[in-house]
Amino acid sequence: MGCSKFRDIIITDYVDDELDEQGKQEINHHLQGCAACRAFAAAVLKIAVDPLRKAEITEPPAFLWTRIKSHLEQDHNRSGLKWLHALAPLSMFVVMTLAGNYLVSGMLGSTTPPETVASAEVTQQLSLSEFNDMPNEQVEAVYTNIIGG
Amino acid sequence: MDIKEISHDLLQQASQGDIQVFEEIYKYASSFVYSVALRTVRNREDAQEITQEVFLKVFKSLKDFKFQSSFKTWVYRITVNTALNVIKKAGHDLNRQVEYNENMIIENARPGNTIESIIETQDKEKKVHDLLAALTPEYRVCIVLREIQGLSYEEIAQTLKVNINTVRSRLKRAREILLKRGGYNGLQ
Repeated sequence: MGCSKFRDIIITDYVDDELDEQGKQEINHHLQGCAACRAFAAAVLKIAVDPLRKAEITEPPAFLWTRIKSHLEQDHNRSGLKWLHALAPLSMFVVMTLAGNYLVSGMLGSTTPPETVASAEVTQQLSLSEFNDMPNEQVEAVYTNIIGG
Repeated sequence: MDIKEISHDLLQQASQGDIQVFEEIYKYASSFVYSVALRTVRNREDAQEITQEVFLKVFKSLKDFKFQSSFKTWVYRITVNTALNVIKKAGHDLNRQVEYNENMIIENARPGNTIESIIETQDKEKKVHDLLAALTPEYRVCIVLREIQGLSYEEIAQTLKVNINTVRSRLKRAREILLKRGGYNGLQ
């Protein structure tokens, strides 16, 4: 392997300790015999690696959690109200349906089936209006033909 | 405390919407999230906004977190993506003058720090700031995750959802840029 390939490994896996034991030994062996690659490795560490590894982990300002917590609590409250708003029209619908049913059943009142009421009305109309002089049997026959009852 | 010490139970409780428990997660993860954000965008106010956005996202998405990756990797990923989006939206580029705030060092100084240690820290921070400023956001993120956060190549690959050789290639390129900037002439 030429110096170019060694340097590719030195600038990445070697300085980052990503090599296995065999890989480390191979690089170390090369560095022992190659001054140019030794200088290269030293430069990588001094210029591109160590200054960054010494960088401090900076802490966020204390007020940041207060701000985040406030947002979370606002979102939590908003989502609670959202459910309430969704329930409101549903509740209205249920109330109105029940009220409507109550009103309708109140208006109807009687339990006589509609077709019986209608037949009795028709019979009464027929018998009272045009067939006053007709015998009852004839009236019944007319009724039967018209109503089919 | 190290982010990888967050327990599964704590995450489960927080995913139910328990803000008090979530504060524990914040305490564990906030320094790393803020650090990655700050080093990536190199601006204190943006870093604070990013940190806030990350934790709001984490809180909302906890119930969907399936533990397919580690929690640490997941939070890293959200942080990096959020920071890169900020850079993209703001049109940040290498030539943009981003503040280096010397006062930040003094504000963050702990009791007992001597003037000499503060100045030393200032010098170190300035160096870090200048080095990272020389890199594109893509390379900068890789260097930050590796050098400052100490992630392995595999962890960086999982965080960025790229191939491990892509990580290797970006680190190599980033370091070559830094070497050249630092006056090293031996690159072939």
